[in-house]
Amino acid sequence: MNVTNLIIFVLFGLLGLISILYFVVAYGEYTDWMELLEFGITSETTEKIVEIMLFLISGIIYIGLIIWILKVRTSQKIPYVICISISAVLIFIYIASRTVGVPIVGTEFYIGRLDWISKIVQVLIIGLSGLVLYKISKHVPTQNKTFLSKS
Amino acid sequence: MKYMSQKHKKTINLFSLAILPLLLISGSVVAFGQTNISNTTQTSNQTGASSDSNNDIIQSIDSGIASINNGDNDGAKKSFYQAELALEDKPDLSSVEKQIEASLKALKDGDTNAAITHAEEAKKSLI
Repeated sequence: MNVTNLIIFVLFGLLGLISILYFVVAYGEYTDWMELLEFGITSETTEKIVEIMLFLISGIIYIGLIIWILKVRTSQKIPYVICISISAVLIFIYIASRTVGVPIVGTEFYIGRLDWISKIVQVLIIGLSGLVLYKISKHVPTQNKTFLSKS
Repeated sequence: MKYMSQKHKKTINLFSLAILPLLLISGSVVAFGQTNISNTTQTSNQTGASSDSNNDIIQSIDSGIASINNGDNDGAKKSFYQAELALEDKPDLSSVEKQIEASLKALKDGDTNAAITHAEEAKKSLI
């Protein structure tokens, strides 16, 4: 197994972990929403729906990226670029939600355990995707087809 | 060559579709941030004037803090939800509501110290 394959396998693991984390957070927001409704609090319905949708879509996008990378491995750079972009945008949204606030949701004050774990995982995803991009760019295009078989 | 350019176009379209919703959300963050800061300032001014009418919310928060100190997290949760319910018709106290939400989330994570800290912060904004 060469280094690039090893990086891609670790990246698979991290992408799988982050998608699970997003589904767990989405489920947590759903249970919070149900509890609020039980107490007759309806003012946060829109906020909760937006949060649940954002977390579910993020989890689904990460699963889509796993499938895409599995299919193309190192023959395309785009999935890795998307990994970096999506993770960076999600980190940016998170930082904004804890500082200046985001539309509909506003400013959140609590930084939970899952929050910082997911941000560390996303930073690692950005780093590893960047590393795969670097490794791909180091190989000339004609070698791409046999790149994985060398392992 | 023609096939390659079509494939390339398809990939660019897919990429745009994936990134566009996230960029749309993040694009309005800065503008919202400024509004939010002025809202917070407005909130703190208004809470000072209407502190008498916030006694029931303060009582609920105090009851929640006491429940946490007694190890009754479920009781604390109920008290904080009651405070949130009382805040429903007070949009000018959104920062207080967010502090109580933070307290509830901390409670859910089992972080009682953070739950008390956020509850105290919510109370401070009401006094």
